[in-house]
Amino acid sequence: MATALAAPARSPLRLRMPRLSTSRVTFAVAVVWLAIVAAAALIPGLLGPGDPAALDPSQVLTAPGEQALLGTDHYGRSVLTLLVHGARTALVIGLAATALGLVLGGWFGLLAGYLGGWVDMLVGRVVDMLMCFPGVLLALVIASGLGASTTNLIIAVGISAAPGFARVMRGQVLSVRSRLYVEAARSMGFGSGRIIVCHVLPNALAPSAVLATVTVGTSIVAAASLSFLGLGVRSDVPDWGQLLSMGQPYLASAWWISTFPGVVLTLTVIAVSLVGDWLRDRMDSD
Amino acid sequence: MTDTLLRLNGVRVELDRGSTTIPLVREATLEVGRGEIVCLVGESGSGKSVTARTIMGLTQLDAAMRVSGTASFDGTDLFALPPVQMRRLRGRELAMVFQEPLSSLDPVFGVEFQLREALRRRERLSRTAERARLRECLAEVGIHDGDRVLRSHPHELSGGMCQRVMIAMALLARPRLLIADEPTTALDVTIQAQILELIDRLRTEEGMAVLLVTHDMGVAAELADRIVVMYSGRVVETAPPQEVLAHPAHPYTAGLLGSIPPMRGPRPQMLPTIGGSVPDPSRVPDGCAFHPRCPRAAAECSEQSPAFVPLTGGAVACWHPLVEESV
Repeated sequence: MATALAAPARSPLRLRMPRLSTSRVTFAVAVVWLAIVAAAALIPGLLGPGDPAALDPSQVLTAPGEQALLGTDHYGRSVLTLLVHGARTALVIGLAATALGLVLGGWFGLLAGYLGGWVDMLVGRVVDMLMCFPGVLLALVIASGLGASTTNLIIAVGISAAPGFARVMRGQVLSVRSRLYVEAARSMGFGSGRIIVCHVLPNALAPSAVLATVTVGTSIVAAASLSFLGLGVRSDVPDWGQLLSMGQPYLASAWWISTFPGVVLTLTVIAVSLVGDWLRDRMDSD
Repeated sequence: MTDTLLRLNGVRVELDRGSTTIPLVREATLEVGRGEIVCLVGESGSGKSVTARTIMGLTQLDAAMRVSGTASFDGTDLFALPPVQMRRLRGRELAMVFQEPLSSLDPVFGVEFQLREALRRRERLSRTAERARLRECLAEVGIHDGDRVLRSHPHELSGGMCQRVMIAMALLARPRLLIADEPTTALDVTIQAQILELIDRLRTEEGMAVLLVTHDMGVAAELADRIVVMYSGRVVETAPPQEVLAHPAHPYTAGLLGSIPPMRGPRPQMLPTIGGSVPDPSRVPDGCAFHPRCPRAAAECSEQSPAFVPLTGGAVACWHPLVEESV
C-alpha cells in the first residue's frame, strides 16, 4: 500500500514541472520588469507622459480609469507619471548607495582580511558595532544627522550597507590570501600592493558582487522607507517612498495613491533579488 | 666545498603560539653548490617545506614565525636582509616551484598575463619581444604549442602543463637557485619523469642550482648530486647519492631506503616499514628525535641529541651510525 501511495509522488511530471518552467518564467518576468524600470529611469517621458509636477485641480483624487490609468493624487498629479519618474530616483539611490557600501565596506574588509592583526581587530569591532543596528535604523540615524537630501540619503543607506560588504570581503580575502598562487606571486618577489590588486582582489570579488545585487534591492527599500518617514529626498523630487507616504491619509478613500508605489517597489525588489540569485548560481558553478 | 651558493647553518623556525613556541624546523644545516642538485628528503612533517619556504623568505612574512640561524646566499646573509631587498632577490636570484601546479596559477588571469608579469620582474622588453621570449621559454620546458597555452586560462590546462608553465615562470627570472617543493607529487608518473628530466636538463644548460624537496628516495637517488635527509625538523644525514644508497649511515635513512620495493630479485612478502610516525612538532622526544622508532636505539639516544659528525662525502647525526666514522 505504502509503495503504491509513494509512487505517484516520484513521477517525473510532478518533479519537473515547478523546477524548470516556473523558475525560467519568473526569471524572464524579473528581467523584463527591470528593463521597464530601467527604461523609465533613463527616458521617463516615453512611459509616463506629462510633467510629474503638473498640478490639475480639476483632476484631484481621480480613480484609476480612462482619465488617468493609475489614478491621480490629492494635487491632481498622475500616479503613473509620478511612478515612472520615481524610477530614476529609486535606481540612482539603489545603485549609488550600493556602490558606496561596496567600495567603503569592501576596502575595509580587504585591509582587515589581508593585514590581520590590530587592523582586523579594529575593523571587526566597528563592523560588529554597526551590525548591532538593523540596517534601516542605522540609515535613519545617519540620515537624521545629515538632513534630508538625495545625496545624504545615498550616504546614509550606503554606510548602513557597508558592514555587510566588509564582512563578506574580509572572509573571502582570508581564504584567498592563503591560496598557493598568492604565495607563488610572493615567491616571484611581488610586493603586497601588487598582490592585493592583481591577485587577492579579483579572486575575492565574486561574493561581494552577488551581495551587491541583493543590496541594490534592499537599498531601494531602505531609501523608500526613509522617504516615507520624511528623511529622504526633497519633496519636489518624485520618489516611490514619498508617494507611498503621501497617499497614506487617503488610504480609505483613494487606495491607488499608496498601493501602486507599494506594488512597484515590491516587484522591483523581488526582480532584483531574483537576478541576484541567478548571478550567485552562475558564480558558484565555477 | 669552495663553490657554495647557499649555506644554511643551524636554521631554526618556530611558530609562536603566545604561551608556547612550536619548533617546526629545529636544525637545518645544508649546503648547495653552484649548478648542483641537492635533494631534501624526509617524511611528511619533517620540516622540508618550511625549510624551503624559509630560504625564500616566505615563512618570515608570517608574524607568528620566529627564524634564527644563518642562511648565506652567495655571501649575502638572507635573514639579515631588509624585506625590500629580500623581495628584490625573489623572482630574480631565487625562484620557487610549488607542489600543486593547478593551484599555483591565479585562476582569474590567462597564462600569458602571468608569465608576462614574471618576465617583467627581470627585464623590460617590447610587447612582441616579450611574446617571443615567452614562447621560447615555453619551448624550453617542452611546450611546443606555446600560442595555445599562452591564450589559455589555468583551468584549461592539465596538471603537468601547469607545472611546466610554473617552471617556465620560474625560469623567466633566470634564477641562480631554483627551489622546487615536491614539484611532481601531484602529477602522474610519466609526467613526473618528464618534469624531473626537464629540471635536470635546465640545471645543465642554465647552470642553476636546484634544491629539490621530495619525499621520494627514488627521485633523489636518480637526480641528486647530494641528498640531505631531514627528520622531525632536523637534518640527520647528508651524503652523495651513491654513498646513501650503498651505505646509509643513519638508521632513518636506511629505513627510508628499505621501504622502497626492490626492482630486481625476489619481492618480499611484506615491504618493510618504519613503525610509528613523525613526532608532533610540539612533542618532540628528548635526545635523538628518532629514538622511539629506531631499531638501534640505546640508552644515550633518549638522553642527548647526537652531534653532526663528518663521514666520507657527508655527515650524520646519530649515536650509532650504520657505518664507521672515517675522520
